[in-house]
Amino acid sequence: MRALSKTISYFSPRYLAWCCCSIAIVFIPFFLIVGIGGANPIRTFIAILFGAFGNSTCFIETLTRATPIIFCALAVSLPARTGIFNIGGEGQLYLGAVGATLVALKCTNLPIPFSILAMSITAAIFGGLWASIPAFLKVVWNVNEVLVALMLNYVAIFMVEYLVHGPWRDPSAIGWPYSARFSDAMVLPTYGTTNLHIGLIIAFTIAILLSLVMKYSTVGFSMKIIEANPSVAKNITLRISHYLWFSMFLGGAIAAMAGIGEVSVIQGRLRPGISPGYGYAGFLVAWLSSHRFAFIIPVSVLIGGLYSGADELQLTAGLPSATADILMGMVFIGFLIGNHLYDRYTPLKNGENKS
Amino acid sequence: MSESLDIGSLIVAVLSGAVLRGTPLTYAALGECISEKSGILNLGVEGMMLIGAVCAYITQSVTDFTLIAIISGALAAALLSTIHAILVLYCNANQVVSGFAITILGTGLSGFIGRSYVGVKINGMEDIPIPLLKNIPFIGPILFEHDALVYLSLLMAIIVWLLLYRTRLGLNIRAVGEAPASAYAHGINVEKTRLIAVFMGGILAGVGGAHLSIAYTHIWAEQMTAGQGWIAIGLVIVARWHPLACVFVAWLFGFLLVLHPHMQAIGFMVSSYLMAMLPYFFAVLALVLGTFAYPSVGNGMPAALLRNFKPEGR
Repeated sequence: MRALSKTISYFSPRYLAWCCCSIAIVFIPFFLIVGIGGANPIRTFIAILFGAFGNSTCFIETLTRATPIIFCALAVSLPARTGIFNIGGEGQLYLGAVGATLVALKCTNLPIPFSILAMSITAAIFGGLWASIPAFLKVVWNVNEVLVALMLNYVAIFMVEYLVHGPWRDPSAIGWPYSARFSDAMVLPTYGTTNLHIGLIIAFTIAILLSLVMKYSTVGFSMKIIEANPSVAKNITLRISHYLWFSMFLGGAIAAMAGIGEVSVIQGRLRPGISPGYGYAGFLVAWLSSHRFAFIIPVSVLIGGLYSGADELQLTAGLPSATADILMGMVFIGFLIGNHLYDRYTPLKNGENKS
Repeated sequence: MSESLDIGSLIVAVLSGAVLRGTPLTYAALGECISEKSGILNLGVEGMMLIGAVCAYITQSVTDFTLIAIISGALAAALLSTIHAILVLYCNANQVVSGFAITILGTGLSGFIGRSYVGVKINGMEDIPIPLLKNIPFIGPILFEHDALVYLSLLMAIIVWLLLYRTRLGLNIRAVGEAPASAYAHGINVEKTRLIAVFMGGILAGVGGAHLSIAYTHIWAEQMTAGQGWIAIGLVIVARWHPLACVFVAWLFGFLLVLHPHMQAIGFMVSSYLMAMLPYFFAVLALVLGTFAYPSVGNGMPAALLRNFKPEGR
């Protein structure tokens, strides 16, 4: 557990330099793998960059991809600030999608602002309750929240499979496991004809709100104490279990927002495989940005770029979509190494103890 | 054919399937058991199993030599686990995060390496019924009509138990898992011991993956483990970190995983997707019961699990 006194200056130039260098070095094996796989490494790199930020279409695609990642990363970071892991972002996203679809299929005649409001609230409750399960088990019986959340991810995925193969299957989509298409009132407002939807703005707002709460409110300060030193928190009679539970509930509700965007705008209906691992990407982003909410947005855009860059690779170089996973794993490992190097080679300030 | 005989043969078929299905879980859980006994949680099991599965599969399809296939799968997974060990031991990384990175990397790598082998046919491992033993009524067909890796898994559980509880290395592994500082003071090289334990864990996870692809399914599909690596980690908790208990818990989960086709065969109609949730639900339930029934003391959990250790002055 980190002591309260430790002052790591995250996002100091030194820190960024160490991390970027390590990530760059870790990329070398990736290009070796790609090279052995029969593609030109340099052209692969350019293809990723172009696919991510090459022109406005690509950049909008990147932002579209970044939106669910921001939500999922916020869903990891908020509980992490009280010291609890939330790896269930994927399952909470799926539950959010289920909640949104429930409203879209059952309350078809709601007018436009209410339809979206109802969709958001239902999805948030679904996702929040789903996230509360591991939190509850953790608080009451001290069950490992990481494993429970991971198991629940698979349960959520099978739940969606069940719904679209069974009760919610669209009778007009013969043989396909789809729900019926969402009516126009159920589609989130988008930017022009692109898939970039209002979720991005909501994600921004939530990120800013959360960082303000963490910085200026009593609740935020209490969370910092709980993360840094639970026994101190106990001594000053903070109700740790309430904070854990509530932060997980909020986290799940935020991750559910990502699910709404996917079913309402990107797919237009509930179907299996709506997320290519956004929940896991969110976990990566949350750690890359050291759980600082404001930093989640730029890092998410970079990882979103990685996804759309990998799409470009699939089209031009014929590399499989798993390439995005390799890249993410490499970035993760590079980041961990960079963190270590920063810790190791940063001289201690006067009066500061190591770790 | 009489009704009772039919039910009897069905039970034998289900239980025999459970043993076969539980074998990859057994290997992965035994590996995780060694690793966790040394104090290192390796959440990369899912990725390591996938890498083991794909490497064994490719080697099998190229060389058609099963032993080499298994070894290559084991080594590939062990390499991946070494990355985890290096990150945790020498870079002081958070074990949960590092293990998770390994899983993402392993998933991606296996999909990338195996992309041209999807749908390629191989000669999988053949069943080798053990003479005499297979004639034991009921138990014979359940336990002794499988491939060699199934028998080896039983042997392996005993070997792991002997290793952990009857050898010097095992004592060291348990020492660094319980009290790394004391172990260090007694002259045990904590990092080296933990590295060895994680490496062995990787080998076993790789063998588990290899069994899945070349002995059980005989095909390679992207993300074919579908969360079994995570189940294996949960299984170790349920088995109270005891190698021999791992086998039985693994068979129990194998039973849940093979249940649903058989349920439909006897006319018990439940959506296969709901049945597919069952093992994961049960894993959660087992975790709760496991943690609930054995509160913190004396439950076999290594005291220094998830705690990184740095000797003074480094």
